[in-house]
Amino acid sequence: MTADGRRRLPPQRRTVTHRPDIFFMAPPGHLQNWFWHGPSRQRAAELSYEVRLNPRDLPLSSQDWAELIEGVEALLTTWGSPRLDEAIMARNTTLQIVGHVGGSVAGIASEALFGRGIHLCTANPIMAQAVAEWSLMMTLVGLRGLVHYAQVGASAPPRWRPCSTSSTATSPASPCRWK
Amino acid sequence: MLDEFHRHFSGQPLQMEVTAERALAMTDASLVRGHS
Repeated sequence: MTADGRRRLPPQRRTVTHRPDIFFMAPPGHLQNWFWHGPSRQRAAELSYEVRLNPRDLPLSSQDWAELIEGVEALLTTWGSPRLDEAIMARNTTLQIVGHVGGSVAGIASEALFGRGIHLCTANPIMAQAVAEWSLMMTLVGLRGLVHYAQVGASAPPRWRPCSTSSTATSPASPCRWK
Repeated sequence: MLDEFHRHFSGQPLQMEVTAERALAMTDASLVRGHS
């Protein structure tokens, strides 16, 4: 905190040694807007990066993609991006790194990509935390019967089913829940 | 991912890179969802 009570922001890193040609493969529309918004734009500005956005709707042929990524040095891929094979990289001799804005890269990876020594990165380490949190949340929502509990006070109130914590040969343990 | 690019182009070690073996072992969502 600063002396006047404001939160101290971390210093922005502005050490940029190279401004790569970056291209984002997501087509215009929802997906592109979903990822390319305030925080992403702000971080690009802080790094003095300019990200070229794919201007063309899908589907695109391998030749179309090859034209779009010619001269690109850093490629952003996401859901629906094509496999980066020889046909798509046919006109590119500059690509150094691919960053997948998503988890699994199985759909975009190819032997051609790794054969060229191009680095491939995934957002899995970041997304995994959100997935874990979501899984825990939904487990508790289900375990506690939140959906039914939220209906308490409605015209047809839910009925509570008692639970048992011990099981027998004919009656296994059952969770407490609304029914 | 822009930070990963920054690390690469400024000569720092990458933090989210995957090997070919690991990449190809991941789930291919395009097959699951029927995308091309």
